[in-house]
Amino acid sequence: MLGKLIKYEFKDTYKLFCLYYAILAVLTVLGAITVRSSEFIPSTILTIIMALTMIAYIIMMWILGLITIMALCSRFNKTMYGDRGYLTHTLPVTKASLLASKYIVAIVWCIASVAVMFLSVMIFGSFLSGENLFTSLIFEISHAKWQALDEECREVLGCGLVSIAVLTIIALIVIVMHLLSFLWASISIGQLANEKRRLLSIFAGIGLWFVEFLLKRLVQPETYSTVVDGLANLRLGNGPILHFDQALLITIAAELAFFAIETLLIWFISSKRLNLA
Amino acid sequence: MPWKLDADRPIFIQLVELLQMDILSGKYKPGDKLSAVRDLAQEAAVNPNTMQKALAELERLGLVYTERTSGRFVTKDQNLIMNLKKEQASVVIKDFLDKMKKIGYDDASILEFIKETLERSKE
Amino acid sequence: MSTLIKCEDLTKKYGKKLALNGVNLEIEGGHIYGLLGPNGSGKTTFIKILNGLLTPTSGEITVNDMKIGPETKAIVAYLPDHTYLDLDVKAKDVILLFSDFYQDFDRDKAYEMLEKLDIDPNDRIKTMSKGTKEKVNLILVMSRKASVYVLDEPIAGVDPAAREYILNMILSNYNPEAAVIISTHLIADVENILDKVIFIKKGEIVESSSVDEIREKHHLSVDGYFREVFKC
Repeated sequence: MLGKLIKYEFKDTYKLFCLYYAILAVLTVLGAITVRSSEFIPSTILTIIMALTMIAYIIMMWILGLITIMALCSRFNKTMYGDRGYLTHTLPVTKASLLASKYIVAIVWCIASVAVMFLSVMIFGSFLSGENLFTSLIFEISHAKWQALDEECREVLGCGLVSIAVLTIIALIVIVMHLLSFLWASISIGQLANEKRRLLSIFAGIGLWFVEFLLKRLVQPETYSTVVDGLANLRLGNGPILHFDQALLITIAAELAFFAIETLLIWFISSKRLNLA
Repeated sequence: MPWKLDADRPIFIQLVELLQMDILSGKYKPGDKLSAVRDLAQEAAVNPNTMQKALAELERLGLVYTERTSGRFVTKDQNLIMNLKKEQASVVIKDFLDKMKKIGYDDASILEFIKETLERSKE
Repeated sequence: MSTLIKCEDLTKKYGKKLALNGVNLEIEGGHIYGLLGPNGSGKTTFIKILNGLLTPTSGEITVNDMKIGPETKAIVAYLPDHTYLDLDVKAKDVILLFSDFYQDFDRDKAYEMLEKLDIDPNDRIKTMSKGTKEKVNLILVMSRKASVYVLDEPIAGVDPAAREYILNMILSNYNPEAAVIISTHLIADVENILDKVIFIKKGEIVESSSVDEIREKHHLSVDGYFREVFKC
């Protein structure tokens, strides 16, 4: 059943995301072309178009992340607690597999959005600089002095390059998972009310954020650090206070813990406190 | 089209009456096979259990019999049908006479009236 | 005829409000039940609990001796009183979804019924009239070979000709092993196809008998008797 749920989750969302990606693709190419051609065809109109396209492009890039998350939340709310909820919750599936399918598909779209943003930057940059950034990147990767970099990494951050890379990827995924569980838990709490659900969701979100904030500060304030804190606490030259891999592991653990609690909350609310209109 | 049923009398009794009428009027001839319960119920737009009850009653009255593998059939017993006809007729007549007496006719005038009406209808 | 649904002391409280108050009920296969009561009587609450959309405060309810969950949802077919389908999808997409998730769904039957009702499977739900949407919803439910059918207001908002067709569809789907529960206000229209009726008032069952029993005892149609019992 999980496979089927995932299939339908994708079926219902792919059109929207492909639309966003297509818009970004168009803006990317348009922006790049206008920038390049403005060099050869000096004209005020072209310069204005270039400026506008650049602005649109930059905005789209930044908000693609926002749009992705918002679309996923809107879909979650509609299918779990809207009219569609009558269909969703009478399907012969467990709530666990329902939630799992939503998380899995959401993470896939988040990764896809990041990939699309990366591609967009690479393409735009290639047009801008005139060189093929893809081949340049591959060249750099294949010719980098990995051994030396690894040693440097161990000196500065206290662990190898591979550990950093793997843990960073895991950390980013877990952070996204937590972001989703945080938002979806707020939405789930919001639907407990009969009216003004959006308002209650916002309050729930603020409340959850505050609880997390307190817990983070209470439990091991010195050793807990987000990726950003970890960098801030590092004392270069004197050796790291904390091995960076440990910092990442703690981050991963904390985010996973919050994710687990919030997901449990969502599971409980959608199983025992479902309040469909 | 759904059969015409009154709203304040038990449905199965009305179904018995309607089916009896069908048998008497010749819509179902002696020995005819009746449709399956489900099909009759659909035709009448009533619950199959109610139709089943009606058919069971008809069976009890002997108007219908079941042959285990082939289904339900109208009785071939002409006498039984004749008797049922007589019974129904006498109910109608009694009702008619009661009504006529209420209007104010006596026995002799009732007979006269009937003769006249029958002759007129032949024209 | 086996007991398909068993309710023991089923209670649902919303704060101080008692939506269901110790309901005891047995629903048997082979019957078409009318679940009748005014708004706020607990009808909808009972239906939601049966379909796993609400959890009771106390008491027990089982379908085929199973607790409400994915296994019971696989054998209960539910027709809500409003549309719950994604408006942008086509009729054939919904049929595909149902046949994917419900093992007892008969795809051919669904297409047959669509054809008979002159509905194009390629039409999107949002382009359909209210009556057509209702018919599609009903086709989805009737194409399942479920043990329990729960129809919440199946003929409200539908023209009289279509009503006759829908009631006919319900009858033609009759299965001596399945139970049909129809919850409706339009009692007079559905009375003839019911055999058992359940009156529910303020969260309690006040009457549980058959159509003919009521007519025999009270010399009133179920509709007429309902008006008496629930006089304002």
